Amino acid sequence: MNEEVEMKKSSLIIVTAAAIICFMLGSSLGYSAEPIKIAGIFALTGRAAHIGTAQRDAVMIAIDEVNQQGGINGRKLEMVMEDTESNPTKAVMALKKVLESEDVVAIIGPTLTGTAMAMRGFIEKEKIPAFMHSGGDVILLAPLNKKDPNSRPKWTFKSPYKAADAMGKICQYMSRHGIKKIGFIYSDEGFGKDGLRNVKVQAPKYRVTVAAQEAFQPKDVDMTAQLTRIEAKGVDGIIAWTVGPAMGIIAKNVKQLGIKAPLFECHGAGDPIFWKVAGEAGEGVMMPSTKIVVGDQLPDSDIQKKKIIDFVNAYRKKFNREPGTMVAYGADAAFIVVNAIKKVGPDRAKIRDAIENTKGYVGLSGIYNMSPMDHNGLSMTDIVMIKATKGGWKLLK
Amino acid sequence: MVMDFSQQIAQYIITGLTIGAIYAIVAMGFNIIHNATGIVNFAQCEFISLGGMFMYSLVVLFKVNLAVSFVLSMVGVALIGALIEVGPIRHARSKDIIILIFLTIGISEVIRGSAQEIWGSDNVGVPSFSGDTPIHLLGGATIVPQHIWVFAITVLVMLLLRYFFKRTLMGKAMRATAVNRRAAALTGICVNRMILFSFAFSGALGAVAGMIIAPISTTSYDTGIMLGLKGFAAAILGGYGNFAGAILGGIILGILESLGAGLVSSQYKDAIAFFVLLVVLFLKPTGIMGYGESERV
Repeated sequence: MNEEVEMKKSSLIIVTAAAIICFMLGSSLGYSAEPIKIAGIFALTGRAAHIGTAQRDAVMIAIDEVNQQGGINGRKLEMVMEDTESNPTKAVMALKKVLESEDVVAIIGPTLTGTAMAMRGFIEKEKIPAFMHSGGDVILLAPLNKKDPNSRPKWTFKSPYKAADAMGKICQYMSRHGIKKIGFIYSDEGFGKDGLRNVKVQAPKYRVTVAAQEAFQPKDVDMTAQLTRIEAKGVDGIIAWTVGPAMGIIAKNVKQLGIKAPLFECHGAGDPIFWKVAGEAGEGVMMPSTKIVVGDQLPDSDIQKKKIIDFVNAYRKKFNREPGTMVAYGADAAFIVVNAIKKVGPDRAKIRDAIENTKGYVGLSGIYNMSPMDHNGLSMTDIVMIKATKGGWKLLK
Repeated sequence: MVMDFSQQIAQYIITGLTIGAIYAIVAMGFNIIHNATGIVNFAQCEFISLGGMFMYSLVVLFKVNLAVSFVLSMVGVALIGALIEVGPIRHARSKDIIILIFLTIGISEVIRGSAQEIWGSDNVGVPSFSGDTPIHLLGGATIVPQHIWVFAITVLVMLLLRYFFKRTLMGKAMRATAVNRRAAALTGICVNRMILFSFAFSGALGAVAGMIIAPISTTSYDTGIMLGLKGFAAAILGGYGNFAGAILGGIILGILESLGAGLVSSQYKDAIAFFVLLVVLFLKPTGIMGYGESERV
C-alpha cells in the first residue's frame, strides 16, 4: 500500500518535471532569435489609468503591426509592461525593476508629467532612450542639473503637443472670438503647474489677461469655491488644466453656478472618459486636440486623414471602443521608436540618435520634425480646436 | 452675473455643508464599528467606493430604477460588511486591537483590488437623483438638486440612527455592548450578533455616502480613499466614537475646506483644514465632543 503511494508520488514528480522542461523548450523554440525588448511604463491604475490603459493599447497595435510583418530583422518585438500606479515613487521603482531584470533597448511612457519628472534623471543616467506620453513641457525644458540651466535632457522625448502650443492654440482661439479676460483653474500637481507657467507666457501674446488663477487637489470632489472666486473677477472665459475626473466635475460646477463664460479644457480632454465624467454638463466645452477624434470631419486634402482613419478602424476592431485624443500620442511614440529600431538595430545610443533625427514623420498627432533642440517635433499648426457636442466632438474652424 | 462678496460666502458655506454632510456620514460609519469593537475599520473607505460602483452598475449598466438601486446597493454593501465580520474579523486568531486594524487594512486592499478587476479603473458618472437644473437660493448662492438630496438623506440617516440607538431594544443592546462587552453578555445580549450588525450598518452607511456623492463627483473603484480619510479626520475632530461629534466634525471640516479654498488659497485648503484639526487635538485630545480620559497611543 505504502509503496504504491510512493510510486504514485515519484511518477507525479517525473511527469511534472517533464511538463516543465517541455514548457521551457517550447517557449524558446518558438522563435529563431531572442526578441528585442522595449519597456512600456504606463499609468495602468490610479487616477490616470484611463489614459495609461488607452496608450498601452495604442502601443500594442504598433507592436502587433511590426510582428505581423515578421518583426525586426527576424526578431520579434516584445513589450515588458510596468505600472506606475499614477504615482511618481512607484514609477521610479517600476523603471529600476525593468532596467535591472530585462535587457530593454528603449522605454515608452510614462503617462503623467509627475511620474515623468521622477523618472527623467534616472533615464538620463542610464542612457536609455525614453519616448514619453506626458503632457507637461517641463520634462524637456527643466534643466537636469539645477546649477546648469543649459543641461537639457538628451535621452528624453515626448509625443504629446508641447503644452505651450496647446495653450497658445486656446489663447489664439479666444482672441479671435473676442475673449479678453480669463480665469485659470488647474490641478495642483506637475501637469497643472506646467499649465500655469504656460498660460502666463501664452496669454499676453494674444492680448488675453489672466485675471484669476485657482488650484485644486487632483482628488477633490468639488471646485465651486475656486470657480466662485474666478467668477467674482468677471471673466469672459475659463481654462481648466487637468485630466481625470476633475475635467467633469469642473464642467458640472460651471453649469451649476450658472457661469456664462465658455469653458476650455486641456489637450487631454478629448477622450470618451470626458463624457463619462461630465455627462450632459460636458456639452459645449472646447479644447485643443489631435485630429484623431474628428478624423472623418477632416478635409480630404489633409495628409494625416487616411492614416488616422485606418488607425481608428484598427483600434475599434481590436478593442471595440472609441479612441480618445491621447491614443494618438501613445501610437506615435511607439511607431517612431519602432522605426528607429528598424533603421539602426537594437542599440540604445543609435536609437536615440535616430529618434532625434526623425524628420517629416506623418503621425496621428501631427508631423514630427525632431531636432537636438526640439525633442517633441510637433508645432501649433498640428493642433485642432474641438467642441464637445452630443456625446461626440465637432471640429471648430 | 458677477458675484459680490456675501454671495461668495454663501456659496462657500453651501458647498462646505454638502461635502461636510458626506464626511459626517462616513465618520458615523467609523464610529459605529469603533463603539462595537474598539477597532478602526479601514475597509470603511471601500464601503464608499462599493456603494458608488454598485449604484453605477445597477442604474447605468442594468437600467434599474434609481430608488430600487439605492436600496439594493445599500443592502449589498451591508452584506459585504457583515461578511467581513463573519469571516476574517471573527476568525482572527488574535483579538488584539492593532492586529484587527491591520486586518481591516488588508481586507480593504483585497476589496479595492477586486473592485478594480470588476469595474476597471475609469471614473464613471451616475445620473443625479432629480436633474441638474441649478436652484438659486436666497443670498445668491446656487445649488443643484443633488445637494438637497445629500442634505436630506444625511439628516434622515442621522434621525433614523438616533431613533434606533435611543429607542429600540436592539439599538440599546448595541450601545450596551459598546460600553461593556462582558457586562452586556452577562445580561443575555448576543455580543457577536451586535458586532455583526455594527459591520452591516457601517457598510450601509458607507454605501449611502458613496451613492449620494457619486452624481456630484463621479465614482471609481478607489473613490472612497480620500473621502474615507477625510471622514476619519472628521470623526477624530468631533471625538472618536461620539455620534454628535461625527456630525459636527464633518460639517466643520467641510466648511473649513471650502472657506479655506475660497478666502485664503485654494492651494492650501487641505492644509488649513488639517491645521485646525491639529490645533483642536492639541488643545483637546479627545476631540470637540469627546469625553473621558484619552489614552496615549
